Amino acid sequence: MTTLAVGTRVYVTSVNPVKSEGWELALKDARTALAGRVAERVNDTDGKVIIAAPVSGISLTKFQSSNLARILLTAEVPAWRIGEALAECYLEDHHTYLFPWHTGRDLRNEDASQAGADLVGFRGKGNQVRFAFGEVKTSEAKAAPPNVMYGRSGIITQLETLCQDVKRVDTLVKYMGWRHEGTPWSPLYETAFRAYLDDSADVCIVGVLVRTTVANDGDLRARTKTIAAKKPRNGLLLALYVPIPLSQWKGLVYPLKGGAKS
Amino acid sequence: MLPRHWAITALGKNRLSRAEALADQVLLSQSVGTLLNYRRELTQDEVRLLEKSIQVLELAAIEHWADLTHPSIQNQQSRRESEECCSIAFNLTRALPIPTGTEARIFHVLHLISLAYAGQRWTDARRWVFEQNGAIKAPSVANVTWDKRVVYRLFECWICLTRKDGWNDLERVSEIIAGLRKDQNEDEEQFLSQTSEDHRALAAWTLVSLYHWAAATELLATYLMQGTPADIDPQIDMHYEKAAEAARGASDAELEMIIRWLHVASRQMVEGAFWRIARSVNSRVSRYIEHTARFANMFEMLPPQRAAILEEGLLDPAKRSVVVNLPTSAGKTALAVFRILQALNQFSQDGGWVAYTAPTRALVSQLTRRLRKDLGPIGIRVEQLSGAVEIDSFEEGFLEAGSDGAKLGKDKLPFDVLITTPEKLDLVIRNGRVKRPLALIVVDEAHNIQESDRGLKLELLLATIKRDCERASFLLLTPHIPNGSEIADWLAPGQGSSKSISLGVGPWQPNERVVGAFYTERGGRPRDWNLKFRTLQTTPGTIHLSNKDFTVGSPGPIDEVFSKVSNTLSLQAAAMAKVFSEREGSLSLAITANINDVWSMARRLNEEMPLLPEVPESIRLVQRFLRAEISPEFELIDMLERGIAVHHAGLSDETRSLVERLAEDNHLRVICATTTIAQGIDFRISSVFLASTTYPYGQPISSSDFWNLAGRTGRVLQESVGIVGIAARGNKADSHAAIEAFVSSQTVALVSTLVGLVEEAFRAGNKLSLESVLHLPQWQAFWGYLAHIYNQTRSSEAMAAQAEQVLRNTLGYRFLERESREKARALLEVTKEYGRRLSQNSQLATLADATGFSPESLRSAIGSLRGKVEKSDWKPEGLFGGNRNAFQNLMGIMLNLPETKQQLKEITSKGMNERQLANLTADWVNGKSIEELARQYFAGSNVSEAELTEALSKACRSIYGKLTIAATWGVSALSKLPTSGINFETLSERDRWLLNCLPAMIYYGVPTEEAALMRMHGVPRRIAKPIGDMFKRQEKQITKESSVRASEFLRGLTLNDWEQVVPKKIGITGTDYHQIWQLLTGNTEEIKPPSMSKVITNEEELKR
Repeated sequence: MTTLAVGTRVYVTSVNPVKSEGWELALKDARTALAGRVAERVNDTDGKVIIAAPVSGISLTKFQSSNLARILLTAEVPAWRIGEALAECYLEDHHTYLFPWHTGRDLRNEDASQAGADLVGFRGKGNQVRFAFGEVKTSEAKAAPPNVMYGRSGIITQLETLCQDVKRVDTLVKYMGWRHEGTPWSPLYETAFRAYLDDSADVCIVGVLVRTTVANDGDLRARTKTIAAKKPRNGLLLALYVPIPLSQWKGLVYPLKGGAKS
Repeated sequence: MLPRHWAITALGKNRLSRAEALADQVLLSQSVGTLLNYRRELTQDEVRLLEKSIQVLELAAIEHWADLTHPSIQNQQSRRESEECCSIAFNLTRALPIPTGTEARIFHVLHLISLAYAGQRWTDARRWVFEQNGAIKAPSVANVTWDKRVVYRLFECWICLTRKDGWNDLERVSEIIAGLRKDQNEDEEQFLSQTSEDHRALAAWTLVSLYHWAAATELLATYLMQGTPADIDPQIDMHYEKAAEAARGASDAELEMIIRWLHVASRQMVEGAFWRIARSVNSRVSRYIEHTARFANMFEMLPPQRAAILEEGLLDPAKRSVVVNLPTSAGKTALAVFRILQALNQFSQDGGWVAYTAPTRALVSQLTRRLRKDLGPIGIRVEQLSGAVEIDSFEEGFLEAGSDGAKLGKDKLPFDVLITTPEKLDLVIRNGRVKRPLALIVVDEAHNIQESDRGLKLELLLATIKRDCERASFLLLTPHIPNGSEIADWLAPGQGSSKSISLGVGPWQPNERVVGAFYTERGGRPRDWNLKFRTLQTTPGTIHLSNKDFTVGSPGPIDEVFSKVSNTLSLQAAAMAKVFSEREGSLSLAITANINDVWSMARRLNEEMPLLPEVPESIRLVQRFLRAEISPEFELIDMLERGIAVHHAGLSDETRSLVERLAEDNHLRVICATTTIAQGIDFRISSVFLASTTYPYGQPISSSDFWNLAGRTGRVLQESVGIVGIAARGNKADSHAAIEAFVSSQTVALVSTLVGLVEEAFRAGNKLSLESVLHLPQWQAFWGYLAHIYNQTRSSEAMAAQAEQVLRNTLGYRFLERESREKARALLEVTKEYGRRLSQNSQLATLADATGFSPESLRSAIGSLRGKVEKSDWKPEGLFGGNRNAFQNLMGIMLNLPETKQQLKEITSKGMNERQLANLTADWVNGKSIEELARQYFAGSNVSEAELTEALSKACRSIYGKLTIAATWGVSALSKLPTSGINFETLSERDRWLLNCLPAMIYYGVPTEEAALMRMHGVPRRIAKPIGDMFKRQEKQITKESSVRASEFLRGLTLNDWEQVVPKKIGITGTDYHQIWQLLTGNTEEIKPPSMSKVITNEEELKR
């Protein structure tokens, strides 16, 4: 699959150890990305297996299944999931990150017992591989910064929590531990785990803002300092400017279905 | 053993050891910290270390996750490693503070429970659940969303599943889930409609996951109760797999992980369920499991039981001999029950029976009660034989009844399981008393084979069974011995016929323990001394906090000056027991070497400990019994008001049994005992403190006996940590070192006593000759064994020809053959020579079998008896009437026979001559009370309370411990000798019957045959005669068959009948006696059936 185009860097800020960058994708490159690599990630087979099996088995529990089956079989993939997939692909292609499975669909249930993270994977190479956890927000709001940056469910609070809440990171590390056995990324897990074992702060924290607006360094500037104050070992804030309105994304990701079901 | 996993290596030994030590400290602090003035709270860094270590261990464990969910023989090795990881992770998780947030708490508790199951530690999880209050409380379901309500309800279900406090807990699981289904329609719809559209699918996935979890939980509860569905495994797997997939669909990592852990826990629960056994064996086993599940609150096997049955093939019928090495309290008796059921089933067409031997009378009684309770309800008859080494008329009738199964009908057989001591069983087997086939012999505490006094007898009993009972199987139960396979192979040589199951090592143990030394330390003022406790490193791995001496309780825990207490170790043990008795609901044992010290400890505690806030009715009952049967002035009565009891050989058998029952029922706080309790304890205690590590007769307590005792500490549902303390002399290094060496000593291979005898003879004279050992007391059991063989061959030539085979049946000869051919040959020669000696007087061999005496003793007794008694003496009035000359003569002879002299001399050494011995015995038979006997024979006329106690102790010890054993055996044996004045051939059957009743009268201390029969069936001595009279009126004449009907007669008595036999105004009623009889015999009332099923809906729950 083709690597995503890197685009044009429109701004960069750095408050040690957090770096902020804004990158703008050309229209053609953005279309190629959404229709190609991103579409494949959103449509990953992993997700499909999940759908088919449990719906058919609900009746075996002797609980009523009709309500649930109806919801599950008609649910649509929200646009923010496409934003997450784009963020993952971009980070993998240009920032030595690896997200072993489409984590966005797995670990971002806000109602879950203990909320996870949008991005769960690794960063770095060789002995320098570390766990990477992050959040993604997709916004077409005109204001800079957009309101998805603020408040209790805003990206900054979420990233701060990832920097400070070892329990949450423990859960993510454990969860990856359940899945790493026998995978190609198992060696990365081992290396990252060793580092994490010696120092729980030795992970990478990443925040990605996916925008359909014109680039504006006001999106990230002030937030870089806020995150740096939480002293992550390694932090990255990235804004991706995609010149395609959100309303067109589904058509690009699911060209045949015109906005497929999950 | 932990696996070699990269994450464990990365964590490193140091960090892991530190984490484990922290967990130990927290456990000790939480369990007995208040008593040891020790409080340990974890710092943030320490909490983090535990969390990281848990993460590492889990990572290593889940590498073989499939082995945990699908345990099999093939994956045993990798599974054991994963189990070890989970077991340690459980310890560490248990030490962490419990989160305060509702969901976090729920997930923490479920995780802890799962780790326990995965680590074969479900008993610890169960205890933990019992110990917790807040942590396990299910959150209120009022005003919570539907998804949360389902989680909270499932949490409650899992608490019930883990706790399993009776049938009701499991029924509640089904009720809760049925209630959830009922509430689903309305509440689910409302919940989903209130969820935002973006998150609705995620919420739906969550519910799918929870419903599958609920379905699996319900299946589990049903299976534990009923054993259905039989094919539960794939159904459980299916539900958990779907639950995990749906949790992933819900993007809920935490839910997915807990579902995976609960999958392991559920599979382990199924695998450990008693119903699992029913798959492969017979209907009796199914009936038993059904009964225990419903009434005895037993649903799951302990991990060693599970390993023994499912992995080690305990119930493999091809294994004729099985040696089970298990730590104390690992459920050996329950394992024996399964093997018994299997054996009875195998022999059901032939009326087969099972023999079960235990080393002491107390253990025989305890086992009888236990097995009656377990097996009685499914129609299996469990009976015990008296501890007397002779078979009286009643036992004769009882043993022989039903020999012709067809005539009596299989349902009329008097017993299926017979419990007795090895000596008594030897007589039964050698004389072929039971004509039905012996299906199985179970030997409890089989390591006693190496005991110097009685070990050889046990070994030779097994050798005899090998020879005489061709179809019998063997089950030997022992604490850990390294050469179990050798023993199993001895009993059933040949490939595939024997099996040694050694489960002494593994992550499971009944509970954690601390073993330490206690000592005193001078304080500021004479009475302000400190009691100190230092934990020790031991071989079996107990909690050890290095470099730390704890102060126990407050300064001067008992009111005594330092100079006295520092020199009196029993006072220190009493002080430890007093402090530890403050643990709520606990029972401490304070142990010392002799009876007087036991009473001193108890008296001191009686002065210092508070009264029980409320004296339970059971204690009141025992007090009334002691007043009536022993003496109104008996000191124990008052001590019971404070929950203090004593336990030693100076008590009547009944008193000891009742003390044990009070202990089992958790009514006591402290028991002061002699060290002999180490050989016969079968109830759980919280802590034990030893003032001495030697037995009253000076021998040191063996390593296995010590660990047997230590293994009883910490009770199943009460204390996480059992405490074992041994008294040290101050802070002296050598004293502490000696204790450390004592607790670290390794168990050694089981060796036959016969080997020791041969080696001793070689040491003494460089060779083994018959002359040199013929009269040594320790060889008499061997001669008895040879006499039995001779009886079967009836010629010295035939015996010589078979000698080698006969010897090879013994464990000792097999060892000698392997280690020293010279010694083996010498033993063979001696055997042949002894055969020739027997052929010169073959009557001796016959008598030896009939009496249990050795031919050499009989040879001497025949001579001594000549002219000393006449036919008319062998009647109750002849022996126990006014003229006791004949009885005195018999006593004189018994005092010179190796089999009886040791016990009788222990009484005569205190100044009693043979005339007084005869009088004491006759008075005992004629019904004088223990108090009267104590005052008459063991004390002066005006005695203080303490002196009376001493006299009562001496009387009980002499009568129950010595006289009844030796005199019964002696009278029985001497009556059979050709010089007894009786010609057995010309005796009428009735006279022979009456003659054989004499020993029973002595044994039970009653003057009539019917009273003896009642005593045999557990009736207390004081009312045995009137109840016997009542029985006689019903029977007209007491005969052999009466013994079979006696038990039924007693069970059929009304309370009014019991009232009639009790004299008025003696402070105890007939109802009391009936209850005492039930307590002593285990003949209990029926149990109330469990309640009917129902559904608990949200509405009903909110009302509660």
